[in-house]
Amino acid sequence: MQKENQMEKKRIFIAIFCLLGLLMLGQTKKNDTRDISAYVIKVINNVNMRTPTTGWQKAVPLNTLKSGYELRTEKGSLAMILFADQSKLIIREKSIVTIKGEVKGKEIISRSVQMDRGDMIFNVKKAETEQFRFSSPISVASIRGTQGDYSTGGDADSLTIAEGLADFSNSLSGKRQPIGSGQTGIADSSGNLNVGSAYSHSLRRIKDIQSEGGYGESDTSKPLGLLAPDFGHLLSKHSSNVRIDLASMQGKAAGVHIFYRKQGDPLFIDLALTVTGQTAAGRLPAETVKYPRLEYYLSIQTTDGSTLVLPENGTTAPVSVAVEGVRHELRIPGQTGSLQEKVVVLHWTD
Amino acid sequence: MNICRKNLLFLFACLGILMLPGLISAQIKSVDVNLQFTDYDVMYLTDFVNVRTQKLNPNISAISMDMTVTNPAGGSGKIYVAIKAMIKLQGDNSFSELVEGRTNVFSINGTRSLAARDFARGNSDIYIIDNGYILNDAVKTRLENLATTITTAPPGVYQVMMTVYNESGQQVGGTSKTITVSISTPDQVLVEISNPANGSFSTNLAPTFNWTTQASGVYVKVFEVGANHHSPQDALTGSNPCLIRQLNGVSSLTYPSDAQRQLQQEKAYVLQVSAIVTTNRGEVDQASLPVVFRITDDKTGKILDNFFSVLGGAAGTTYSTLRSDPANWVVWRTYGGITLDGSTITETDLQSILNALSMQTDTKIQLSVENQ
Repeated sequence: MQKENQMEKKRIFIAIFCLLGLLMLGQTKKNDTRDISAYVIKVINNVNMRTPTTGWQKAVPLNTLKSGYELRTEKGSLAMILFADQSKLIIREKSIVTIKGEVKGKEIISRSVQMDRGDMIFNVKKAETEQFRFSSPISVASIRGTQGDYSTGGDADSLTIAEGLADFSNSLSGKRQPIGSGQTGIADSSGNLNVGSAYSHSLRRIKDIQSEGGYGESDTSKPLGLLAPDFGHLLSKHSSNVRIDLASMQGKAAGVHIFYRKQGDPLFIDLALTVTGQTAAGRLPAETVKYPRLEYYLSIQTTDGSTLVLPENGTTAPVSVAVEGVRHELRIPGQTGSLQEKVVVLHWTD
Repeated sequence: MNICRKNLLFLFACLGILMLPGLISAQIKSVDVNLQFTDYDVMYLTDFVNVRTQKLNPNISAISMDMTVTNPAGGSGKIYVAIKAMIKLQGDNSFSELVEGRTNVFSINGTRSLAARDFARGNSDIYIIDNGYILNDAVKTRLENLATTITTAPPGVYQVMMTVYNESGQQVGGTSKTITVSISTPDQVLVEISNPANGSFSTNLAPTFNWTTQASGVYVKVFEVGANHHSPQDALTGSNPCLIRQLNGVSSLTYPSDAQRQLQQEKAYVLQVSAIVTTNRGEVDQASLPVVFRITDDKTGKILDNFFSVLGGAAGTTYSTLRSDPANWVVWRTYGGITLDGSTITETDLQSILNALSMQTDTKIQLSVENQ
């Protein structure tokens, strides 16, 4: 009996110990922070990146950018960066930016982009607490739920806000002013900070570049880079296999969906691909493959919970691929009133 | 042609109406006169008068004058015949006397029949006497002028009156004959089929045919179009008729149930109506233009009509033109089935395909028409 009581006490002790252990473990996990990460989702021409431990190397779509990573765009080049909260940066030509930040779980603790030179269009999603900070040697802009353009040219920085509100300060003088929608702030190396109405063409440019997904003349030949699906030979009304090489994602793709439709149709068809190792594959049903083109975009769920849409404006400007049509001939023999045999022949392709 | 006066008299005595009655003898009180003359639509004058000799053609047939003494019945005696010819040519308002004269007194024994040869023969006991002979030179000249351009009797109304007198000059019998010549040549007779319209189609297996013509008699013929017939003429010459009817005095016919063959669905036919023109040389047929009509429900055609009316555009226009008069195109299974990409399809399949195509508003549909 006494032995049984001792055993019972042991069990209770172990249970309490385990419970405490689990609670402590959870507490430990909750306190963990890690580097923020973002993805390069679009690259046009010559874009390079480097990590704190490596030299410059060519950036490709779906490269991961972590805290401390630098990205450099050459003349005539462009890169688009997407964060987990769908905030988007379009780094324009001749720019150098450094990504910094931390997340705790799914919460962004801090996030900033240091821009040594250049120009970037931004569309930052509004967060409850966190502010997105852009900085240069001259200025700091604190952004939340804002669209605009931040550029630094050495002697002066400018911040134009198309939508929302930002806090803009001159780091050299400490001057600080809010920049509202339709305004431009200029911070110069003399410590000045001036705010005025933005040029209409500047505001329009921000909108245009965002809607076009970068430059109007974006590279459409390989819009998805290494993630371009391989459809094989698409023949109208014939089923087709689709395969995506995920090697460039280095195991970070948890799920891949391809949304596709016949060119011009209003609705996309959602096809969940099967991810096996470094490959996502699926089969397009015959009745969904239609002449003359198949439009599509990808939605990739990453292992960190982010969702990448490729191309980033794919829902409105999807990529398309040719579908070979099947030419049909319908022959209807008939007779005229003068007893001539005439055949009505219909041709169409679908 | 110079028509001598005696021959002209003979011409109207025989030709226009060969005729001469007469009986003589004091005892003869009544003579029955029967003028045999076949009505012709067209009369060739040269068959009645020898142009070269200007004498009456002795071989005129179907014209004779039969006289029978009825009082006393079968009696004999002497008679003579007075002849008067009137004419009203087309365009004239009234009759004009052409010629008037009489024969010599000749014998009749119960009966006597006179034919053209009796006048033409030089040694006949009957001849026209000079006394009382009257010839209207103006009318004669007019006829002669007409005769130089046409070889047939000019259109008009010809009237001949023949009176028989006995030897005492008492009228004992007589007759008259009126002939209307409406056309001068068979070519003037036209036949036009007004129903069915050429190239038309319907489901009616007993259609009604209507036509117009100057002729009173017609032949109505219907021929079935065979698979190897590529024109109406092919059918007219290459197949046996389904129907042949000779009709008089009517201008329509509903396909009869006792025709040689009944009409059938999904078949084409050729209708021809021929006017019968009578001449002293025999019957001449003046045929209408052949008319094609088809028996079909045109179900497939209606499916196509609906499709192309919605489709519109160049294809719709081409199809509409093909279907409209005069092309009157209809789907015709005799030439083979409807095929899609080489495979035969049913009418239901066709409907489904066209329905699907109608939904594909961005699909470009090209239509072409191939002549086979």
